Amino acid sequence: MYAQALVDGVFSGSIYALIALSLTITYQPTRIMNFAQGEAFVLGGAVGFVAIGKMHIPWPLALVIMIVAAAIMGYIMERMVMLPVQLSGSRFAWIIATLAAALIFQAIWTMNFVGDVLSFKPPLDKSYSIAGAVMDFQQIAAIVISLGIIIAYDQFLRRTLLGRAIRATAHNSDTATILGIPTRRIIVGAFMLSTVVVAVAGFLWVPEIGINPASGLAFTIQGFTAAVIGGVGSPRGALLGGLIVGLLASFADAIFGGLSANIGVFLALGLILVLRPAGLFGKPMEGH
Amino acid sequence: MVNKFLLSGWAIRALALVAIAAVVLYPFWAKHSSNPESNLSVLIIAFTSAMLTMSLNICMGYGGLMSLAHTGMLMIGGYASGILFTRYYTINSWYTLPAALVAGVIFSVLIISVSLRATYLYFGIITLAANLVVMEIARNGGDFSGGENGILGISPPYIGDNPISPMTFYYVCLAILVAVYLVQRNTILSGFGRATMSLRESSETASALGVSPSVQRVKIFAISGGIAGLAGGLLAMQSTFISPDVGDLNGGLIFFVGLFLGGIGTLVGPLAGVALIALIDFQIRFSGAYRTLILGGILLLSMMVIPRGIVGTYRASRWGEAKEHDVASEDRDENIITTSEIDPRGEVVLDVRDVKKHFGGIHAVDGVSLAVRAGEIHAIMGPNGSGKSTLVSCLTRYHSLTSGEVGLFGKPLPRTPHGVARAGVSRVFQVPHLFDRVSVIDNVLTGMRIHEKYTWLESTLRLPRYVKETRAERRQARALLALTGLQTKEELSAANISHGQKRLLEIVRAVATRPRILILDEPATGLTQPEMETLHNLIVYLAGHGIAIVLIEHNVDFLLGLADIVTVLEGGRVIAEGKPDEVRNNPVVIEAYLGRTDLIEESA
Amino acid sequence: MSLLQIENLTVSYGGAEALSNLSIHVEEGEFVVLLGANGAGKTTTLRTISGLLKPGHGKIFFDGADITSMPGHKRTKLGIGHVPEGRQVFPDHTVMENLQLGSFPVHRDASKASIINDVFDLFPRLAERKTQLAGTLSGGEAQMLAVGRALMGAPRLLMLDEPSLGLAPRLVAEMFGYMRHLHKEQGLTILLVEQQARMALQVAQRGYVLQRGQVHTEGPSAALKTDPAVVAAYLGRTA
Repeated sequence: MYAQALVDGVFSGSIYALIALSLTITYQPTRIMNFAQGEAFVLGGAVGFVAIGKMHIPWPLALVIMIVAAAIMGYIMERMVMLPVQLSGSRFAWIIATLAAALIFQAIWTMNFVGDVLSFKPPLDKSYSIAGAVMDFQQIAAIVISLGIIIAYDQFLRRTLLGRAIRATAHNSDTATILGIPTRRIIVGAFMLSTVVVAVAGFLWVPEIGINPASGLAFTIQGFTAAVIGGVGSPRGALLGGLIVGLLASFADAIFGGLSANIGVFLALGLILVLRPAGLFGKPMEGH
Repeated sequence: MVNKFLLSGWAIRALALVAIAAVVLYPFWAKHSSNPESNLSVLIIAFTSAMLTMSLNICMGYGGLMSLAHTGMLMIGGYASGILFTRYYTINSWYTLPAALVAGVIFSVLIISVSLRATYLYFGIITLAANLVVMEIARNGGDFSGGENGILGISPPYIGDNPISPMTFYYVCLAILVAVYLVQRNTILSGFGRATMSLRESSETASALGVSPSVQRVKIFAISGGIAGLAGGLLAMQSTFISPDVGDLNGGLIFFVGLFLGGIGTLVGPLAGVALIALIDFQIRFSGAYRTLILGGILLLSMMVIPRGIVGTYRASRWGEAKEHDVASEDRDENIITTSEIDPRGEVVLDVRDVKKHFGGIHAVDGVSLAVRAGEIHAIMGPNGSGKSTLVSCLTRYHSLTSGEVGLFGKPLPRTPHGVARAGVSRVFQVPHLFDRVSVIDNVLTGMRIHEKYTWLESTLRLPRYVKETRAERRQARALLALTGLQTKEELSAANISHGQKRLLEIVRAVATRPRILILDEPATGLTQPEMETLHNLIVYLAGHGIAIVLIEHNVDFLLGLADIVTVLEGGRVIAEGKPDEVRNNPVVIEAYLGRTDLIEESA
Repeated sequence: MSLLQIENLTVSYGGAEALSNLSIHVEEGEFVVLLGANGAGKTTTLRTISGLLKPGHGKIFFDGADITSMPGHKRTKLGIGHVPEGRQVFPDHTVMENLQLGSFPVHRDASKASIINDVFDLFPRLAERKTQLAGTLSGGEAQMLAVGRALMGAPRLLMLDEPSLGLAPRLVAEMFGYMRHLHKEQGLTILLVEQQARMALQVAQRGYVLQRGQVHTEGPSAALKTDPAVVAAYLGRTA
């Protein structure tokens, strides 16, 4: 039983890590945590559901369509969030704007997929037996791809000038602008990239476990928790935080069942924030 | 012409009167309408929405605490009422109301105790998570909570064998709404409210004014939670049921819309916003997901177009703005600089003994000793990075000491920043920490919080002790403003005075705490010559009244012209100490800090 | 044709009018100073030139081109360098990384390398601290870093906002020395905002005195130094 919980926990953990990474990608140049991020997760599942499940489009093409759709969604989200933030001047603007965006997109999903559970067949429907647990190919693919994306982004941040410019933009976007750093382009790029990453996460998750179109916020919370536990702004933190959340929820479910998974995660979050307010890897959060 | 009239105070007051009359007389119209119960219900539910929006306004708008748990609080209040009503018939049904309130308070105190150390971002996330968890608990609560369907069969409280009539319940709700508004208003327009607003600006400033950030947060969140719970109880009674869906954030969207549309951080804003959005929502309430789209869109648009909300924009406009006015001198209390105990001149009030502060490998303060005496102006001078500000931060407990001891009035230094402030040490920061959104006189009054003796209850009910203290405070505040020539500007928003006046106001606010030691960190920055003279005279005046002044400044002439004694720091150590003239000519000081200002003149 | 020309600039900020019909110009190779009390609009002027604030009315011309609606980062590419108020170095990056972040507008790696060498020649103390985190630098070193970082963009016009703020008097003299060097030896056009009026008028050729968002007085430094109103307000015993 524990072997299965381990396998499932690593799988879900790597997906939560991707969501946490996407939150990090948007957070870095803007200091904003996007509550609407999870809605892109639903997009990934929805495109797969319609394109692969209903229209029988081959999955590589469906993947491409999904990436394009996610990029567009990312651009729209950037405008929905950044415009109110810049024009409002209220310190709560970003929370309210991202929340409104989340609820708006959630409404769009629930309108179009009334009563549906989003699901589609995985590209390779094979399973393997390891130490008493069953592991699907889809799960392996998810873990590998997730790891790859996180490592790639981590290297990008550390080694390239643009990566460093992103961190600088967060610290002081005005100074970055006067140094000739294209801050607006960086922010739009961040929104679009993060949306694509989350959509990919959804695309990897849904063949394994179907989702409800209204579940965007729930996944956002998991991603948040992972990001906060690992420390916001750090891809490595996202990975670690994601795995912790995934394994914690998985084992709590295996041992206690029921709603213990959610409560367990919440308690872990509270505990970590009390002991280490900056998360495991993070620097203390500065306000706006 | 028409514009001017429409926006003038009179038109607004007339409009408000009409609205109040309409609300009071509404049931009589509803009685004769085609669907009396439904029509009454619409307004009753609007009342509960207004209560919830006001509770959000209190914690977010005034307290700076982002909460996404308020729909959860609404739900918990409803459940408390519902469970009490349906399971414990023997208890008087009127107790369901306070039960709902208490449930709200308990829930909010739980949330805030977990997140006391969290910055406001994490706090928002925790509230979101708490909201989801509490909904989950309600769903899975088995028979006790009624599971997915919740609890049915709730009704308004009973008199005798029957619940009160819809019309009576309407007036009960209206009365509670008015009470909640008064609580909001009286809480905000009081020392408690000012302490809350200082928290909103920054924990640092709040501590420096003697407010304990944690305690204030708990209090304000508890008040907010209690109101939300109460609203939930009323809602459950009106709807006759309570279910987990009430906690859904989706439903909470409308409260945020109302809050932002009306104007967050204003007293009347929530009412105006809810009134407006209720009208709109009434049209679209059955449109399912489209309702969310429309409400979400309105929210985003209003943030972009009228970021301060209707009321806020009006207040900030030419018509709503406060004006300068004269204040009669009888309204001032000339006896203001009375420190609680005046130390004999020359007595050592602050004793710093070999203080060290290391940040990892950096020795910011490396063994500094000095003594500050009552009535003395003790200047601290030195290059950037010499440890001046770090030393002061250690003395006010913003940093812990690595080693060394500090004696304050002969006793050990209190452990917390607000403790140090309460002991009589006030600090004016290098970076302005003025309350921009609040009036000039309210800034000064916030400084007086530290000595206020009335309780929250006394201020909310406007009891005699509150009234007396407040009146005395205002007179003292006016006298303080007169010291710096700001007396005609007392009602102006602090953001609208000049930079130099802002610096002076911050010092006045610090003086309002009746300190025995006043620490000024680069107060002369950005002041013109005339303003510097006012500052010079103010500092001399204060020292003359027995206050010990610690002055950090880069403006060498200003500093040396004021100081009784100068301590020069470099690299975290004291390199010279003495009277201004000695220090000015000290070769070590010239080398390290002053330089030879004749050089630049030569090569011109 | 002036290198920088501002015509009738009106900028609102936080609901109030920060600049009203402001017109100033800076010729190529000049050293011009903006004086005035805090709140007079000096910083607002620089920020508008850099593109951080949008004017309600008026135009900005750089080297003959109308840049009024040009995005901020593109103006840096054109040659407008800005050392902001309070230095604003990136504390979690090293000195070297801070300098590299200033080189965005410069495309060729060879040019970047040569400019970095120039900066280290000018500020040897920065070279010593190449790998040190900028957040641990002293005030004077951070100011040098901020100037060096702006120089990395190969600017034609260098704008400095109160570089002497918070510096020890000895370092203030040094900083003015650097500015004079950049102007005289390297021919850089400089627009300086300063509180230290007396020293600023020693090094600058011409000055504007701003008051409430408008030009109150202007003229050659020699004239301003002896103008009684200017002396009374800004040139007292101190600066």
